[in-house]
Amino acid sequence: MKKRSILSMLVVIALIISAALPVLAEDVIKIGGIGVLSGKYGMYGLAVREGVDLYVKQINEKGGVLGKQVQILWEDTQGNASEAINAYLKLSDMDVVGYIGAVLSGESKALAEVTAEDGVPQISPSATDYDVTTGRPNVFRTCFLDPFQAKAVAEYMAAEGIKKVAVLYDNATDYSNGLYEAFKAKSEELGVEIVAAEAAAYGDTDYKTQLTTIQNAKPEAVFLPYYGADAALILAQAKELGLDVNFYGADGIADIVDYVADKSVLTKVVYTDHFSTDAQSEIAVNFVKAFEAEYGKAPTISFSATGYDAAVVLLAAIEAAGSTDAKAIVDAIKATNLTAVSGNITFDDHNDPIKSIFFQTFDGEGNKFFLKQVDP
Amino acid sequence: MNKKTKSLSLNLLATLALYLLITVLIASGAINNYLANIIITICITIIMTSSLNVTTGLLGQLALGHAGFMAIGAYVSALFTKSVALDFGLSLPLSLLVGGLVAALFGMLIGIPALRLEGDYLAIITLGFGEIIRVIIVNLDITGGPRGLTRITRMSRAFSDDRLLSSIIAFTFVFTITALIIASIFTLGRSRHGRAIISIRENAIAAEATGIPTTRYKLLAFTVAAFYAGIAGGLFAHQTSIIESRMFDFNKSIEYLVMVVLGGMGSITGSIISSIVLVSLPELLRGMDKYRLIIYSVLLIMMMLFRPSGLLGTREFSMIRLWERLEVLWKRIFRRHEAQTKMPFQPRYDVWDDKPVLETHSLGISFGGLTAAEKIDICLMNDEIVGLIGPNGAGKTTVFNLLTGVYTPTEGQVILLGNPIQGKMTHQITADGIARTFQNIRLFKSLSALDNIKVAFHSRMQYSPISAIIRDAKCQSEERGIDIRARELLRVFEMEAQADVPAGSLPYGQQRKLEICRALASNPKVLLLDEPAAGMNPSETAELMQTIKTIRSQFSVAILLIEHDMKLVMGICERIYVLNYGRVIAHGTPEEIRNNKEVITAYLGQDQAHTEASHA
Repeated sequence: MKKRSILSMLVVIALIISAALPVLAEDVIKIGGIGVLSGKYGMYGLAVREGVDLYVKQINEKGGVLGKQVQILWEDTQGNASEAINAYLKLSDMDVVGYIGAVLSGESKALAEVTAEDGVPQISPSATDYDVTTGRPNVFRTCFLDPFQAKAVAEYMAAEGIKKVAVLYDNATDYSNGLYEAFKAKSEELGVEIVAAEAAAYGDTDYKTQLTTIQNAKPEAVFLPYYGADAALILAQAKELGLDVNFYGADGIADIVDYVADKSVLTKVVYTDHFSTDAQSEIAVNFVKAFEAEYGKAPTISFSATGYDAAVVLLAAIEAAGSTDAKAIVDAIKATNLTAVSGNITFDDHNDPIKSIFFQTFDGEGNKFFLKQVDP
Repeated sequence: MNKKTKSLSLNLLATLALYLLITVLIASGAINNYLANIIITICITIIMTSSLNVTTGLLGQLALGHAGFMAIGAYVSALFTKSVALDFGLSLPLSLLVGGLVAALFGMLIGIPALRLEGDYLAIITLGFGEIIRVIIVNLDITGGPRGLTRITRMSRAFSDDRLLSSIIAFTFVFTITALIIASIFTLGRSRHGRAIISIRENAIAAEATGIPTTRYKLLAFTVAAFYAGIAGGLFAHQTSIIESRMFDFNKSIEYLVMVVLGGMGSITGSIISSIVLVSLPELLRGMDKYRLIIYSVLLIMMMLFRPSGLLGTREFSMIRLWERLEVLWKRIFRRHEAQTKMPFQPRYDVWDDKPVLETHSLGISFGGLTAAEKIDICLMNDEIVGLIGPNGAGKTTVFNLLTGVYTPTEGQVILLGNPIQGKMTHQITADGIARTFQNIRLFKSLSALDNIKVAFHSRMQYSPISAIIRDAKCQSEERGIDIRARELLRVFEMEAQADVPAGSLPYGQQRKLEICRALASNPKVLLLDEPAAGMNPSETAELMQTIKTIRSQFSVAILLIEHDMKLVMGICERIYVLNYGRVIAHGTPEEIRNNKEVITAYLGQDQAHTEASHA
């Protein structure tokens, strides 16, 4: 008991010191970056971070915002909702005026819960779940939604003349499930028949049972609402089984290139994206150049672009508001109408962006290949 | 007493001081929202680990699905506060209770079939259970499916419009619940119920033979652990505002298990410390970004290398003394009378003169067609010492197992004090009046000699688990009563000095004596001794003979003993049964047995019989 209290006091003291250290008053505008920066989905957060950091650097070179330099403080959530809340509570005591994040939908909802309590501006560059912004006037995003891209995929398939389609999805993740529901509704409306809808559980690594059922249903294409790591496994197993059709995915599948050994399967993938490095607008071309100069690689994960855009929207709103008052910034974000890297951005009643969508595929070498841009 | 009082005051002060310190720090702003949130996480983690320690540490069963119970509590309690239109200050405690009870119900449901298994099998079942809960949650609509439940009221903001006040109330609420749960685990752990649970960990067979209904106690431990995990889940839901099934997966269960192992299995204070350290550590390392997980893992591995039995092993700092101290204070203030010491354990001196206390009628058992014992007719009169001898494999221990219900007879009857007992559970037969010792000693090794005996008093105590948790007068008077009785028993065997020594550290001869002593504690009418002299030297054997005679006269029991030491058997038994190939081949006085031809050929051998006879 004695030892217990001494120990806990030590811990408390240590925590206080660690929290107090960075709070040295400086004349800067602080924004917070919160999201998954490590683990299975870490690359999405890191892509966001690169985009955001790039814009912060650029704007600081031009004199900053409201005449002050901008400082961005990053916190890793490991994709965990309670960590997202911890990260917010930590940053909120450090004069942070606005937040970019979170990256995944679940952690973004948790973050939205606490930013909404304080009414501080939050822009997620990548949370595609509908509910994130619902009833929270302070929460925005610079990516389009799952239903939006699922509908776009269904329309794209219909335009390609596809009549019979199968779906393989993960019924334990918001992302996969949400895409599937919206895709189902839109395909029925367009007269595209779903001949097989197979669910796998979160964390599965063997999809052969589901793929065999799909193969027996003889679809012309497969809708695969998965992230890249899982999709790579699925495509390799589909090839083994001889299931030779196109696989249509949404934004999450874009990083599949990092997970496949046999790059030839990639030519079978068609997916929707928030951005294409082959986009033709001047701001997009400049962004790709600057990104390559800064990091020595192309912004292949589109969340670098939406992250960059989130920083553009947030900092432009602070400038427009003329102060760091939360309410003023939120109002300014709501009134946003600017041309960003991933297209022109305005916000609808639900704080979702009205913007362009890009269809892409890969060549046999694993390079992204731009197919088509669909504007709102 | 002086030293004890001092340490008690320290305990009491430390808990209060910790609470006041944190409250003041929150109020002054030194502990900001972030730190307050982490402290709440620590409290929730402490509830999880110390409740898991009830199953893994006290009961000694590996449970891999603890997060499943947390999930049930979290979802039930979140749905409760979402759907009930009550003031939050009322609906939150209610929702925790409901969440805990539903989790406890599931604990019981899963426990009934699962706890008949042990070790690896139980671990696999609990693992499967945890995953089943998660999958069910993913597939139900009411739980929000894979997207989880969102917009659950956050307690750190909901108690009051004033943020600081709300934060302090939330901390007070969580701290109080945590302190109460820990205190209850301690008080329960030190009661007859706790001893019963620990005795199962130490030796399940001996526990049953000592009169502990083992299945019921496994279930109790499992249910209590599930109840507390459910409460922790409810707190967690109202801390994070969002719950998803993935938060309660296998990894989460393992995370808590790691904390329990690091703190020391069976040490609740160890669990508390490791919860504090392992929750704070990743937060302290936050600045190191992605390296923090590596550092965290390395520290865990180092811990396991240098302290393999955990921080505290099974040791414990005393909280119970704090509790008792509070009671003393209470009594002083209200001048209540000391609770009476209840002594309900008078030995059964009832007269059973000329009738047999134990008899069997053509008792037998066959295992899948193979007859291990048949047509056994044994009879024990009051206060009689009877021997059961025979060559190895003759079925002597089988007879003991039949008498004590370890095996259910396939034929025949066992009559104890005029009532048939065949078909009853071992612990019931123990309560009815048959106690035994084992061929290979089965003591509860890490319990003290005194506690070994106290476990055996279990079947004659009455106070409930609730009494145990609040340590009411009934509990205290019974505990005081058995403490006196247990020490009396030790005194008879001249082992008072060893009362606090762990049974496993006693010398061999004393372990044998302690086992007999423990058997006597259940107040038997019949005592079965399985090779009591095994491994003893001649002087120890001589002492044992004396002890057995003393037992018979002091405790008024009939004794049936299996023994190979013919000197002992012939020296103290009034009658002897000889067993061969599962049948009684002879029975009579030592003299008759010594001269029985069949016995001589089957067992004694010509020479020995001759020597014994010439000695006599």
